[in-house]
Amino acid sequence: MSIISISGLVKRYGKIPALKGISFDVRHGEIFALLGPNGSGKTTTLEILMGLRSFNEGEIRYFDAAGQQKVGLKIGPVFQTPVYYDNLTVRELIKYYSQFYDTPSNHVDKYFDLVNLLDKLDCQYKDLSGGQKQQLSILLSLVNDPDILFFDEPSNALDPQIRLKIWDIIRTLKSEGKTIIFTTHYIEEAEALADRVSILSKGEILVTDNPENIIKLYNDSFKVEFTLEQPVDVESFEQFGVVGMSFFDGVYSFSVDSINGRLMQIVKDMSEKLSISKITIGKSSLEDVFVRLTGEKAAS
Amino acid sequence: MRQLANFFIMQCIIAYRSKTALFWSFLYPLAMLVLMLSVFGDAKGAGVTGDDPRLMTVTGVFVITIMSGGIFALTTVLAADFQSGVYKRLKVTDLNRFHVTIGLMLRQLIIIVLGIMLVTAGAAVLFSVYPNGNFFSVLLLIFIGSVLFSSVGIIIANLCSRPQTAIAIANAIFLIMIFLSGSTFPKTFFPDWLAVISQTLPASYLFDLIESQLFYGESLLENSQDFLVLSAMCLIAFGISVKTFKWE
Repeated sequence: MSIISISGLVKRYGKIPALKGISFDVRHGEIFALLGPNGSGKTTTLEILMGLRSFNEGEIRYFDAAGQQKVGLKIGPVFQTPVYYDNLTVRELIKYYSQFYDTPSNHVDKYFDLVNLLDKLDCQYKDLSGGQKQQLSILLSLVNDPDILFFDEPSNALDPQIRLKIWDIIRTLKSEGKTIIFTTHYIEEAEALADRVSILSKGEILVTDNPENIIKLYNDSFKVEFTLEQPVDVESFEQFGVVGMSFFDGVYSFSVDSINGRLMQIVKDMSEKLSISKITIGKSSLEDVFVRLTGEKAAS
Repeated sequence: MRQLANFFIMQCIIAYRSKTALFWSFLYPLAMLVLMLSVFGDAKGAGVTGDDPRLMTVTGVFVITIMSGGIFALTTVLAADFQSGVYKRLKVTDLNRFHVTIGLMLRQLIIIVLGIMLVTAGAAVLFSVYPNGNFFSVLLLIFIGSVLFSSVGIIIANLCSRPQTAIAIANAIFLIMIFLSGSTFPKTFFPDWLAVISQTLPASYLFDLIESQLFYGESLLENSQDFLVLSAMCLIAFGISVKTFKWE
């Protein structure tokens, strides 16, 4: 059952198109990821859904859990960079932001265990670390008991430990029935968290499905990666019967449908004529699909 | 109403903890009072007559306090907050532009009233200058001036996409107003053409009305035309500030 249904959404900044008629729906209780490189339209989409930006064409419809159309939803926003008043304390921010809603809720107390802020309640916002600020931002997104949470690159520029903590929080919120839409350019984040993913590029949605299906549909194959002591031109691999060889950051890679005798022969031929220093063969990932669809290397 | 009250209280706490706000709201007007009473204390040379010519200088400091608290302080703070995205986050709550603009104006009103009380006390204690006039009429003028110039501050912050531009425009308007309204130099110094321009400025109306209270001890009724023009300017500026409030 959908909570939001978006169809034909077009957004232009002056004459520049940011969104070119995108359509997707988000289901109740799922984690939905908008994955794309910088400038693909992820944040614009999210800000339109949050009511922060207007759009030129298209339709957005909201539904309750029974499938009845609603005028709007209670939303909880988490921005890429947390934005709160520097000289208010954590306690004050929670108190005042709770009161800015028509139906204030005290239920946020139950989320204190989720974030590590209990000993920071009387600290001013400016004295919190980046990770603490983002956790506070998540806590403040819950003060109105929202129907849906919008996270714009929630773990951007955070260290790996804090990123995992943010992922845990997102998973816990899902387990409590919250619907979450988040944007990210971290493929592993989308793969680890999302029930379904839309891959955006240049204002268009290239595919929407769950990560496993996307991999199956677009790249259900094996990926061979290797490095050479003496680099050679990628076209020279045609002599081994390899098509679609790519070279990035010192690593050659190509895909094959299955591990069979032909692959083994290719590897044997290559090792006889070239000095292969390291070779790995693995299942394709969402990153491979992302690179294939968008033509851009993912962030890591 | 609850949302407005909470936004207003939150803004008061923020201002109380801001060293910049405290400087511009209290120390700056007090410093202007000491400086101006020391330099321009005796305005008789400029053809000013009355019980105590120094009251004209105090009037000028009142107007400077209202304008710096309204235009300058609000533009500076708001432009920075727009850029950082604080208001973008607030837009996603159930606060509306009335809550925000009225909350900000009420905060500035409190700050301006406290600043003027400090200036009045400073004038009395340091220079033995005691203003005339009806307390409530002066308070009403401070209210109208505060809303008017706070609205101007909000409009500037809204119309400029960069904080630096907003602050530069606020500075330019602030300086033109304080020099041409009579707040720093008696208007008797001005050539005729400049006096005509000066008389169109909102700060000039505010200065003349407060002067009529503090210096001449007149009632607002005696200056009803100027009072109505100032009130109309205030209403128009307030309307534009609410209408143009764009959150980021």
